[in-house]
Amino acid sequence: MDISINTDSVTEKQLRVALVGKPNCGKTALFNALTGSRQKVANYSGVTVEKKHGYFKTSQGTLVTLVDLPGTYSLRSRSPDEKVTRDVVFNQFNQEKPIDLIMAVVDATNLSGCLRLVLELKQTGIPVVIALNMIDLAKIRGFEYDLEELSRQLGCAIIPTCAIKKRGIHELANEIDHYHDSLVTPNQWREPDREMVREYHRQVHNIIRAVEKRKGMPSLWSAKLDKLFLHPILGLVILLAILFGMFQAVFTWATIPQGWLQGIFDSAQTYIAGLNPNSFVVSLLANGIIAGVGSVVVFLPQILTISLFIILLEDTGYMARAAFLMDKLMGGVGLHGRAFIPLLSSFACAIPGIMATRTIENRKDRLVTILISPLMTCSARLPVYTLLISAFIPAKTVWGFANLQGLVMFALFAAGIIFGLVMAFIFKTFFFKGDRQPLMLELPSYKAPNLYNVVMELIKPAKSFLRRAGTIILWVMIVIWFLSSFPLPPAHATEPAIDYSIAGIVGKFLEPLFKPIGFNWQIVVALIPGMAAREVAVSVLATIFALSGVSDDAVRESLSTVLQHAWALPTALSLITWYVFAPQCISTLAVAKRETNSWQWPVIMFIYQMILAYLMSWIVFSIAGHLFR
Amino acid sequence: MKHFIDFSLVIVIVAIALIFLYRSLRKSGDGCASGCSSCKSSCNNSIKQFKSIPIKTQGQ
Repeated sequence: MDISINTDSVTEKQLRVALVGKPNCGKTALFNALTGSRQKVANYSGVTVEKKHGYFKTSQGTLVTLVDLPGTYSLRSRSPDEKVTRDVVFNQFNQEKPIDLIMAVVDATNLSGCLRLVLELKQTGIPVVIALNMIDLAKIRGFEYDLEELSRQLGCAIIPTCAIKKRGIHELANEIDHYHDSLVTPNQWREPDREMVREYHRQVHNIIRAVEKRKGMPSLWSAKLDKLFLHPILGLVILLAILFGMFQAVFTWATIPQGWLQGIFDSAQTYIAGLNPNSFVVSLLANGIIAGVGSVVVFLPQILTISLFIILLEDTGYMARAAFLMDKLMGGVGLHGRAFIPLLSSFACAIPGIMATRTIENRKDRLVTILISPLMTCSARLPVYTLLISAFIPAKTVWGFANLQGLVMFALFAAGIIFGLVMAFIFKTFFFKGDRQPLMLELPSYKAPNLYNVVMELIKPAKSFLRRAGTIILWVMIVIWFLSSFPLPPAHATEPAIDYSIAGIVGKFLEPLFKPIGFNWQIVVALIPGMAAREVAVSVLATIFALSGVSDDAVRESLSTVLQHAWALPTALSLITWYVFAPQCISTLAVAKRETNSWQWPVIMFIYQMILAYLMSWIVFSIAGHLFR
Repeated sequence: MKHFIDFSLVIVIVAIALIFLYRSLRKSGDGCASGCSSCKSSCNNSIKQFKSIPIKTQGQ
C-alpha cells in the first residue's frame, strides 16, 4: 500500500516504516498510538496475524506509512504469520514499496528475549530505530538500563515508550525525521545455523551485562496468581466457573436491556402496522423490516455481555493461561496447544478464528484447526440459541443457584467444543497422522484491564452487529418479505396468504427433505438465507409468523411466545442441535478456501458439518419424540 | 391507482435490496462481508483512495 496515491504532493518526504518485534510486546498498541487506528490489542501473543497499514505525519512533515506486523522471535520464520513479517522486511510482496526503516519494538521488561531479533534486523541493511516499550512497567519492576550504552552497542537510536499510555510517541515520530530511504544498505542477513544462533545469544548476553544497571524482578503477583490459575485441577475448575458465569450473565443481566429493546420494536411495529393495514409498503415496514431486523437487534445485550467477558479475559492476560491449561486436553486429541486461541477467537466469529490459525507452524495441525473452527459457537448463533432457549426452556433456578436457561446455553457451547475435539481426533487419527508438536507459549504478566481499551473493543462488536443488522439482514428481510407476500392468494383462499407465496411454495417443496429431523416449512425457509448470516434465521421466522396472520397480537408480544405455541419441543431441540453443527455462513467457507489455498477443504468442511448436523438433529428429534410424546 | 403506486414503491425497494444483497454476497465470496469486528483483516488488502487523507500528525 502506498500513501502517495492519496496525496497530491509528490515533493513531501515519504517513508515506509515496519513495526517488528516479538509477540505481545506492544507493536499494535504503538501502531494505534502513532496512527490513531483502533486495531485489536490484547494481552497474549498471536493477536496480529496479518500486516496492517496506517499513516501519520511527523512534525517536520514526513509522511509515514506504518506497517504493523505479526510478532516473531527471529527472521527465521516458521509459521505463516511469521512469514508475513519476514516477507515484508525482505520486500517479497509485489506492488509494495520496500521498507525504509524498521521500528523494532523491544519489551523493556524482557530485554534478553527481544535483542536477538534486533541483532538479526541489523543484518538486513535497513536502518533500525528501537522503541523500548513498557518502560513504565519495567521501572516499577526495578529494571534500569544504561540507554546510551545500549544505543552504542546496538548502533541505533533508542526511544523509551509506553504505547498504551501514549508516552514517548512524539519523540519516536521526531526520530523518524532523521532517516531517509537512501540509508538502506545491501542485505547481510542469512538463515542462521546452530552456531550463528549460539553467537547471537552470546552477543545478547554480553549486551545485557553491559547495559543492565539494575536487574528487576518478574511480576510477583503474576507468579502468585499462576499458582492458582495454572493448577492442573483448580485451574480447570476456575476456567469452567468463568465460562459458566459468562453464560449465566447472558440470561440474567442481558435479559433486562433486551426487554427494553423488545418493547421499543413491538411498539413501533404495532404503531406502523396500524397506519394502513392494506398497504404493501406499511406491511413491508412493519412485518418485514421492523419485525425482521428488530428481532435480531434485541439480542445486542447478549452479544455485548459475552464480548465483555472475552475482552476482560484477553486484557488481563488470562487467555494465555487458558490456552496453557487446555494444552493437555488438546494434546489428547492430537491438536496443537496453540489451536486453543484460534478456537477461542471462533466464539466471536469463525473468520478471525480461521485466520488466527496462521500462528500454527505445522500444516496438518493448522488444517485440522481450520476444519473444526466452525464448530465453536460464533456470536451469530447467539440470537438463535437465546430465542429457542427462552421459548422452550423454563426460566427456573436449579441446584439453588444456577439459571436453567444459562445452563442449557453453557451446554450448547460445550457441545460445540466437545464435538470439535471429537472431530479433531477423527481427522488426526485417520487423515492427518503426525507427531504432536509441543506448545511453546510465553505467558504474559497479568495486567489490570485498561478501561479505554475495554470500551473501544466493546464498541467494535456492537458496531459490527448493528452494521450487519442494517445491511445484509435488512436486504435479506426485504427480499424475504417480498417472497413471503407474493403472489397474492386467490380470491376464495382458505389457507393463510403466506401458503400461496413463493417462500411458502419453496419451503413446502423442500420440507420432506427435513421432515425426518422435525423441521417444518417455515424452518426450511429460514435456513436458506441463514447461509448469508446465521442470525437471519430469527428475522425470517419473525417475518413469516408476522405474515402468517394466525395470531398477529402474539407476534407483537414476542416471537418466542409464538414459537412456543407453533412448535413441539422435539422440533425446537432438533433446530438447536442443527445450529450447533451446521455449516457456517458463506464468508467462513470463503476464508477457509483462501487460507488453505484450495476449495477441497471448505468442501470437506461443508459436507462433514452437513452430515453431522443432519445426523445429530435426527438423533435428538427421535429421542425427544419418545421422551416428550 | 393508489394500489399501483404502493406496489411500484415496493418493487423499487425490493430491487434496491436485491442489488445491495448481491453486492454483499459477492463480498462474502471473498470472505470479507461477514461484518464481524476482526473480519476486515480478511478483506483483500487493496489500496484505499481517501477523499481526505486520514493522517494523524504527531508532535503538534
